Amino acid sequence: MIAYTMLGTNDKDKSVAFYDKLFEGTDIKKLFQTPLGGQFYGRKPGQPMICITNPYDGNEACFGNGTMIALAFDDIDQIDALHAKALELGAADEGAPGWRAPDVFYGAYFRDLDGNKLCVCKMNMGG
Amino acid sequence: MIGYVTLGVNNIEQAQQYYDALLGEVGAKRLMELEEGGFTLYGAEMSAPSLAITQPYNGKAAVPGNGNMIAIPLEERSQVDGFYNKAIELGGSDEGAPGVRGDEGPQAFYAAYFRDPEGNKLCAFRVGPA
Repeated sequence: MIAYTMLGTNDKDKSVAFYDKLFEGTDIKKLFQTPLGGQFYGRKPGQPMICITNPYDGNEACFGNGTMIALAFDDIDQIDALHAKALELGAADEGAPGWRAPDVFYGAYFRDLDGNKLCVCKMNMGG
Repeated sequence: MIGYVTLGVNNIEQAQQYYDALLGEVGAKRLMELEEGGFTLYGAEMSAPSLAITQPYNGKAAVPGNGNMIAIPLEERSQVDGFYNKAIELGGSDEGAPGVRGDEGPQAFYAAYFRDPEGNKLCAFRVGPA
């Protein structure tokens, strides 16, 4: 039911550079841009994407509290590596990799350069 | 690439009522509820990316982000209209009435924008001809 999620930034070039480096070596690719310059990333067409963008209303971007995007991966080692790489690239730690629900949910949490909260996780929930 | 997205809310019961009614329109229902933060996950099935509402993990007030938006794909323009009308009727606020953004045609982007009662921005859209 989700096609894409937008994340606000105040420095799009810097944020795009962050996500370019973060996703390097994964199966997540840089896709198209919106007419307003938002940058999409995704695995392949037809699958949910994220988009890094300046806010549409022209006001300053701010992250939401309670808002979080969880990116799904199959491989726990990749989750560990992505969390470490995010921090290396300047993200803030919001929770080290680990099983939050044994055998069901493995997650690691961080905030991007604009404070947007992300989770990289593996979910064994029948899907 | 998205497993799920959470939206922060302060009044979890009100938000549950809102999303029960709104997402019911597109065949999504509560898939999971956790005690912590009133976390309530909505979706059609667990294997598809889902939307959750929750009180913030850090215990502070929920605040909508500016620049953040969740886009929900629908199959028909009339569904976009219906979804948007329902979103407003239930207490959401308008951020852009249903209509084509860009050019009309086989790949036309027909979208409507709104905020939920706590200010989280959502979009419903259909890509394709009228």
